[in-house]
Amino acid sequence: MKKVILCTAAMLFATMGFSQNESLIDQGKTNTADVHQTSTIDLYNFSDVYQRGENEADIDQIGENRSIVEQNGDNFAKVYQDGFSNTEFQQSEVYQQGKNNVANVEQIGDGNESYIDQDNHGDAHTPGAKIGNMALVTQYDYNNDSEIDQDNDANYAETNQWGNWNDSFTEQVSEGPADGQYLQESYVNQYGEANLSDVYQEGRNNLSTVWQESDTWMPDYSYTNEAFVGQFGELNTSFITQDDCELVKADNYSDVSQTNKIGSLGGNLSTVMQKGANSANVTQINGIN
Amino acid sequence: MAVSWGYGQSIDIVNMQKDAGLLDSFYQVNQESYISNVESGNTLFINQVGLNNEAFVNIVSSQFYVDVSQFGQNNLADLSYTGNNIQAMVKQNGENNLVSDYVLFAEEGLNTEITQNGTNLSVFKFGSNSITKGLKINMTGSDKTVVLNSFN
Repeated sequence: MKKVILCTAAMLFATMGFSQNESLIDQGKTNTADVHQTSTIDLYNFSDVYQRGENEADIDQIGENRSIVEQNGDNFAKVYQDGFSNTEFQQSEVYQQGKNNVANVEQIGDGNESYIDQDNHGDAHTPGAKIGNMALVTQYDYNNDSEIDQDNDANYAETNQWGNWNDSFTEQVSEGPADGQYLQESYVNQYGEANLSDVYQEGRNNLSTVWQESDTWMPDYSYTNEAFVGQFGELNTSFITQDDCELVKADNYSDVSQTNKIGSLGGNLSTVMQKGANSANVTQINGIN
Repeated sequence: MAVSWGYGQSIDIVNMQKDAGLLDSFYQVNQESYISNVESGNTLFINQVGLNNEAFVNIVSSQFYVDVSQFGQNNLADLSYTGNNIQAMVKQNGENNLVSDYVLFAEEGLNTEITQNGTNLSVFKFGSNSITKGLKINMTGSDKTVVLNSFN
């Protein structure tokens, strides 16, 4: 087992003129990469991990941070980014191809961006496979942006955002021979001002839950809570709950579109619960190929 | 087929609503939708509490159930559907209620129940007969308006 541990706290690389800590790791076979970086204000941490085989990456960054993890094989990635006094910029990208894909990203700061792309190629159904794709994103403070793209079956995505100006985008597509043997799950929980969630699911056995709770009306936004859910396949289930503290000015908007392409094997279930000033637009189509 | 329907998150949401002291109606609707599997056809629950409630529903299906509940002021429920075996329930409580129920095509099994409580109540209904089988309208309040055109 090859193991690399890099502790580059407060090292003044600055070779590119703008990054304080920079780490580049390329590993094959059975791999573990632990990266710990701490920078001071005005410079930032950069980590790039590329692994092939049986992979584990643990990235821990404090300061103004950017991380890229690319894995092929049997994959696990954990990224933790913490900005100085919640005022710095965090950016994380995780790309996983293979089986047992797990990505866990936690960001604290002002301006968090997370992108996770997972594809298990249907390996969730092979003997010994424990999971298809699992993505967990947790973000705190301001300007949270999360995007999760998952392909093939057995997809699980969970996004938790605490703060203001929360954006979450989740896309799950199950296709080919692996289509629909397992549940596609998407959970989005947003707490703060100006929440936006967009969930798209294609395949069988789609489940989406969106919870949005805001405590202050944002005059610059047309809706305080916005939720869009699109589900195309069989057995579509969507739960949306939107809660706003002000009954006069606050706005909730939900848009649900469900299409059961097969018709005879299952249908669509949608629940929209809103408190505030509310608008819901729901379209359900059953039995259309 | 190894399909499992896990609703753990839904249970959490219900518990959070209870802890937050939100309205009982929220809890009831969520419980109603807490079913072990998705029925064939479409099932829809909309529950709105507050001001300027708008619910727009468009459904194409051979079997569906719709339940819309609105509590507050300026409630609008706009339903448009095509299909058979339809069961639709609309409840509005408050001021300035309006229900528009448009059925494009329904040969059998149409049951619509509209309940309005408040002021300036209105119901518009177009399409499907005979003669608007299974239709129930309950209106309690002042300034009522009902318009029905059930073609054929």
